[in-house]
Amino acid sequence: MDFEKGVARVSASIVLFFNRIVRLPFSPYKTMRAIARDDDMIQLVLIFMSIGGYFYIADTLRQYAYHPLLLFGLTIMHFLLTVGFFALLRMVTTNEKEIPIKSALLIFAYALIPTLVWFMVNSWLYFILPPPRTVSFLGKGFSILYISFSIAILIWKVITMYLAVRLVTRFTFFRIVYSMLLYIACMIPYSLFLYSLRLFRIPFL
Amino acid sequence: MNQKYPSSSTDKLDAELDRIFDLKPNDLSFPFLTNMYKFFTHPLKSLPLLYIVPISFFGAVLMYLLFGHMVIRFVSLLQYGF
Repeated sequence: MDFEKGVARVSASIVLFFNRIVRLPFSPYKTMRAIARDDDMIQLVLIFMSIGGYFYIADTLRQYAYHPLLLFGLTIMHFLLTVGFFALLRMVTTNEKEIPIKSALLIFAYALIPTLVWFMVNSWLYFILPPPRTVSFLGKGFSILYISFSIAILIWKVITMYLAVRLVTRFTFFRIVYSMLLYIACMIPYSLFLYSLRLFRIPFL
Repeated sequence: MNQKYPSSSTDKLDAELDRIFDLKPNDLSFPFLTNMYKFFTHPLKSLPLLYIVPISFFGAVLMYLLFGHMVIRFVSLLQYGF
């Protein structure tokens, strides 16, 4: 009976996971608010399995300097630091002693989806159409499409990240802007340090 | 999965009101700024792709018109880098 319940729970989480990923670009606000009321850790595991899968696939498509497991471990650490940063900011500014950390983890994990999509598409494009791009008509066309796709993903990422910070911290617009600036200020030295180790993919995930 | 599944219509209404007022609306202190914020964020709440896709396409074309072949080199750099 417990096994059946477990299977049903995992199946429901898988359906919810795909449903939310599909809905995220079409109605990010409604989807993120629905996620904010959830604390299902199976979905968090599914998101991180996708990220781990990406690292392994990307490593197969082109050899990277570091093992995918190391990159995956650093991504998890970076993710936990990000969630911790905003959770701490909420606790400090609102004097709240408890915050729903499971929900916060899930919201920020879904905010990783746009970047994950970009990295996956980028790896496949590297495999299908390896660089360098040329100044031919097709080269120019591909470059414009690639840049427009990247800008679209960037806007999607900004929307989901803004919503994640808003739903976790409950801050208003200006506070979110200030907290994001503070976050970026903390991230710059950390990113430069990782860049010096040739681990520059991590901060973007 | 701690979402509530209310039975009666009053419970449903309470749950819906809780859900709506769970997050306070954004107030930017000045009515003009608040209205501008609502004006720009309202279209992004549902089906933002309708705005994102044309904006990103025109943005990419504008980048190409402004920077020319540097954009092509930038694409190669992005593909090599990530």
